[in-house]
Amino acid sequence: MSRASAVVAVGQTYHSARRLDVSIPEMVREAVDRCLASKELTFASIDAVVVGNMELFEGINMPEQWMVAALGGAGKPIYKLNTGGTVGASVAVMCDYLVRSGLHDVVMGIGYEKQSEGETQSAITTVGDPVWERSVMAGAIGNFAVMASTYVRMSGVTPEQAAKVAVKARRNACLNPFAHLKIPDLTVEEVVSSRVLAEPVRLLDMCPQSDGACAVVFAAEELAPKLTRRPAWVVATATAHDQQYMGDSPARLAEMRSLQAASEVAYAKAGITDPLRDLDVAEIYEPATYAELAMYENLRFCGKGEGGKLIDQGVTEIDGPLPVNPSGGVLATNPVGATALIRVAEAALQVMGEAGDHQIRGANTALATGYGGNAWTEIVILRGDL
Amino acid sequence: MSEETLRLEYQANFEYRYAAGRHGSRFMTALRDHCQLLGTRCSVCQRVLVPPRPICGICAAPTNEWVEVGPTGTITGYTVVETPFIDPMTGVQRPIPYGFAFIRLTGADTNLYHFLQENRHDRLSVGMKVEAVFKPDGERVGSLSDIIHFRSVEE
Amino acid sequence: MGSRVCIVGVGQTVHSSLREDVDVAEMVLEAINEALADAGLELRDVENAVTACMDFWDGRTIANMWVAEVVGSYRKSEGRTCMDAIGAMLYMWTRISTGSFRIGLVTAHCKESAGRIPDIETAATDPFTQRRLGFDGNVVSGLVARYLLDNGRYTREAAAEVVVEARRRGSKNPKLEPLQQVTVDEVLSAPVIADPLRALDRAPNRDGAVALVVVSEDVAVGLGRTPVTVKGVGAITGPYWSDAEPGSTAALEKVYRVAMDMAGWDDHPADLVELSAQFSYQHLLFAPVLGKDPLDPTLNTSGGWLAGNPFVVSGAARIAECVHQLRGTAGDRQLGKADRAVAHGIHGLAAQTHSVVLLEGGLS
Repeated sequence: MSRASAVVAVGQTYHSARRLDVSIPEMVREAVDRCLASKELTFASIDAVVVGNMELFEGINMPEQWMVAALGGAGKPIYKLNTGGTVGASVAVMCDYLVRSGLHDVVMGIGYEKQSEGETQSAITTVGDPVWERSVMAGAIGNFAVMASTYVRMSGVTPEQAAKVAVKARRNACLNPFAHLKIPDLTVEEVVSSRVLAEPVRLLDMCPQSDGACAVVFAAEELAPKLTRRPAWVVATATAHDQQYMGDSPARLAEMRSLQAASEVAYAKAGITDPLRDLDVAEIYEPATYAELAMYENLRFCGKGEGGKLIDQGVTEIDGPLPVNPSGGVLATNPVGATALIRVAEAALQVMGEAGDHQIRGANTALATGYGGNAWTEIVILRGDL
Repeated sequence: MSEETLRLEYQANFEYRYAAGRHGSRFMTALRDHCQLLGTRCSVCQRVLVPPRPICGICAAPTNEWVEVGPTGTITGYTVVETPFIDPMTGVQRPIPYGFAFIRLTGADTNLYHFLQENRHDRLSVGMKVEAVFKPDGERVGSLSDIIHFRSVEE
Repeated sequence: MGSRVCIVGVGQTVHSSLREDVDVAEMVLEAINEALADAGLELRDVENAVTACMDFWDGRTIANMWVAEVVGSYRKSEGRTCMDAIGAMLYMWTRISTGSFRIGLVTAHCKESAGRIPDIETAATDPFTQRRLGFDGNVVSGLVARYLLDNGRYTREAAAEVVVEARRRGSKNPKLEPLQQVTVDEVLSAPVIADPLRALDRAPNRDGAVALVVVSEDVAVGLGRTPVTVKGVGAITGPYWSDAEPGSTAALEKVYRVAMDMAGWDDHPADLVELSAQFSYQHLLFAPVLGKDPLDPTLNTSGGWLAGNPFVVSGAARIAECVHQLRGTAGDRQLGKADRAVAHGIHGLAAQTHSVVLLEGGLS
């Protein structure tokens, strides 16, 4: 019914805890310029822009209107989204729809967050329902730890298995020039003896807060092959939600209903029956080590309760059968408004064969996910040879 | 270009009034006036939802009955928070460590986040029975904070 | 191109100065129930949703989480946009025209009573050079209006007539809280909010929601309802207000042209136009671009934003009125036969962004 779209160019900033050297528009522009330069594109090539960011985190209202010049966008369609942790993937999904529908031929998706410019922990509480959740919130970490405790009980995952995810992420990040948190020689012992934030979650189990931006260009099927040697075709997108309140799912992290629902749809669209076999690489939005293991199960990389076993077997290591987050993932880099778009960007780099030192050889089918606190999941599947 | 990079401080204070709504107001007034906890039952799947709401998302169907739940419940997930966190309602850092849990109120099919009296990890477990500890009469204002915390029920 | 995209249901709350009796979900559900009944569908039939709301106005990050269950998005897809609701309609158009979904719900909500609007608008000014000065949307529009006034681009009397007429027409719209009827003199002598703007030159703050049921052509036929077909959509953002020529309508001209081309409309003007103006001078600027005299009886039969809609919701209220007029369900406001209608939305400070939806009656 509709034409295909593909990712043709990707750019991101050097992510770090504090990008004191640039303003927000300059930081966004850094990602945009790197994206355009990677494929000899100019602003004139871009028909429309989709922007993702959490306004209340930096305290800037309607930021896309303010920074329209940095987006190269005055006189163009500029669409603004905010869907929380998922937002970067929501941006990618909207870009895909805009292209496939024929409304625009070339669309740039942008996600950014300058977490150092707002009080992030208290900003995160503005996510909570003001009547039902804010007065009993314990920050992202406390909330996450409660969910992790349920998952640990149901799956039997050990702290050492979770720690292996942390080690993998920070080691992979050393191969990614743009990653924030790189720890080459991190050990499982160091992770399990790091400071307890909220049982069972320790300091090195959690993602950092980063400043950063990411830009991704989507193009229509007749243009994509002219813009890049090997486009990353969008073969599936899917979005699914959970119920409204955080306590609605009986076992939120263990069950991950929105991830299950979205992955079922995306796998069906992409013709994937055995994800472990059919996917070549995955870039998933793992806010903490325990979440990555739970996601293995709910993405059907393994059976229920086998997430720990999968990491023990090295299946998801960068040289394993299904590398997960060769970029270092969210545990290494987390500018919230950009984080899920970075997943799509990294998946595209793998398919385009442009991932550099963390390239998975022969990667043809790549999965990217966005995670909105289990309330919301977005999935994008990219493929090189159709 | 200047070698020096500056940051501008800006303190914004955004004030809001959030309506608790018809469902929220009924819950909060019952809590304030009678230490009673209420949920709504889905007209299709019969699950009891807390917080009470007009629509059961799973069935995309209206709820049609109010049901009293709690004040006892079961812990379905828990932690002891040891990282500093500024309480958004008071602007003050909550004393650490403190217990924090998902609680399935008796008669409900969903979980409520709340604080625990117990803050020692080895004394907590999934499946543990707890009960709500309410603020005394005259101090309840119609907010989830009218429940001070949940404490374990000796069996 | 894939399926035609049709609107088969509209629902609105009465847009009121204060809806403290309902939370956001309950308020939006009122509009959804009305829209679904209008379409002859149930909530469980909805395959996907696109919602429009603003975190700063709602005082909540990811404010659409309030409506996750009432829009029926459990295990389903909801897209969320942070711009005038016409952007949400545009996004739904892409989802249905590609054949990805057949039944969709578009909702928009805002409670302008929840926060302090001047603070919220100040947060949209440049944080380095403007924010410390502490001015709001009134001042931004006041600066634009003063420039236009001094350059002879409009008169305060003409703008006052727009306000009088908006309130007169709005009094026939049952989805608006009744506003006091005023005279030109009363508008001109109302308290100054930012010279040359007076209090009545700005739309009053409102709480409210709109829901639209949007379906593919085959579903519309099956429902046996009189549909309205979406023929063109577009949104264009101009330069940041302080970088722009004050009162420039370039973005509106461009987006209208783009949408006309998409719809295959020639230069024959639409039978009916619903435009969004938060300030009266904006109405005078935008009306001619959309092919209407400012007081034309076929322009803003609903009363328009100046008769009282919430921010972001205005575009959806414009669509709702166009649908009623094209179907012949506009009650006391019904024009004669109308085949083509334009719904318009604005966003940002001083209408930096313009968006339009072009509609035709029936399965055209």
